[in-house]
Amino acid sequence: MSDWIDEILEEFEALMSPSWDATEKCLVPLVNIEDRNNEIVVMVDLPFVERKEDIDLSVTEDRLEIIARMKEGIKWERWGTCQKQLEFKTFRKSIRLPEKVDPEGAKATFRNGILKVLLPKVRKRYTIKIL
Amino acid sequence: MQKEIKIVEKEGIKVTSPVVIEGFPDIGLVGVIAVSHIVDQLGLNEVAYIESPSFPPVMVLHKGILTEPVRIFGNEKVLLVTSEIAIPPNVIYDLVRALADWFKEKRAKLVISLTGIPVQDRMEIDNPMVFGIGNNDDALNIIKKNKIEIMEEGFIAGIYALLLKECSRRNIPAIAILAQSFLNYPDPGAAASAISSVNKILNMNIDVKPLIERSDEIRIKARDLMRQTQGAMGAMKKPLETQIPMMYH
Repeated sequence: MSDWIDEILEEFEALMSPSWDATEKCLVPLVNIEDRNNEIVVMVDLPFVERKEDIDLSVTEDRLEIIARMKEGIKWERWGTCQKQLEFKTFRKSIRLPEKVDPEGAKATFRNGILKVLLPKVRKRYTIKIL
Repeated sequence: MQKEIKIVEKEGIKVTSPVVIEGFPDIGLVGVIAVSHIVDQLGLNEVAYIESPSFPPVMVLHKGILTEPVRIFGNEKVLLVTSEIAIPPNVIYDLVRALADWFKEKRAKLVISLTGIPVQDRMEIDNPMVFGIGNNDDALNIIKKNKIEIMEEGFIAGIYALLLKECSRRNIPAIAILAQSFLNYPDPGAAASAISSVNKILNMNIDVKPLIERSDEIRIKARDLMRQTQGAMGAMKKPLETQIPMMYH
């Protein structure tokens, strides 16, 4: 029950909080999480990230962490008040996964600035033979 | 109860049977990105804005100037409608009716909606395909003549779906152009495909190369609007678009 509440609170907080962090000088990427039969698929939008070598991924049973370095710093010259002094160089996001996964079986691909991570679920499904 | 929607025209707006292009925040922000690019390429000015007490209490600053978030740009021949905020789902019906009435008053000869259609393997697609929907025979003929694939069966949801209907009621031919797109990420590539179809339909030559070249920058700038739009899409019944309708004939 508390996991479920934590999940909702985390989603709400993500929606209400800004998409950048002035202390860490990082942007929060857009993320899409898809729950498929035997795996969780996480897709992350990473504009200005060019090479897979610029992405650090780490995964535990219930959390995926992403840090990605951009090819150049992003600065909004005319945006806001204090924000115009800021330069963002990385994307950073920690994602709570909807189910427990097997970290050792995780795979990732990166194409045209989109990162796709496949995370096999711990709870496998088995086919039942109909007699 | 009808919500109050006001289309406030700037002084001196003159149009002669214009074509209207609409791009509200939706799947992959395809319409917003495409319309912004067309406005930029054609150097169009704001000719009207839309206000409503049902919109969020938000104004936008551009170069220090206070601006309404839902605006209409154009010249004598073309009008482009777009928004910098997600449209609250509870205001969509009234907004669409007000727009369709205004298009009728301006004697619009064609209304084109630009939007996206989500595809799971978008990451693997270099040139997104485009599908067309028409609200009457004239509109369908325009789609066929320009060799755009027609979407024949399925649900459509959101502003463009209602706009097709409301234009139909007012005898205005309307087309929706749907480009294969990411669902939750701003998709300049899909917007480029949608603009290529507009080029064919209206015999225009809007260069989509800058859109592709500035793709990273656009994706960064559009992130917050995409986040707002994600919240509104569920209430717009967008997930229905992936479902198969039951048919008797």
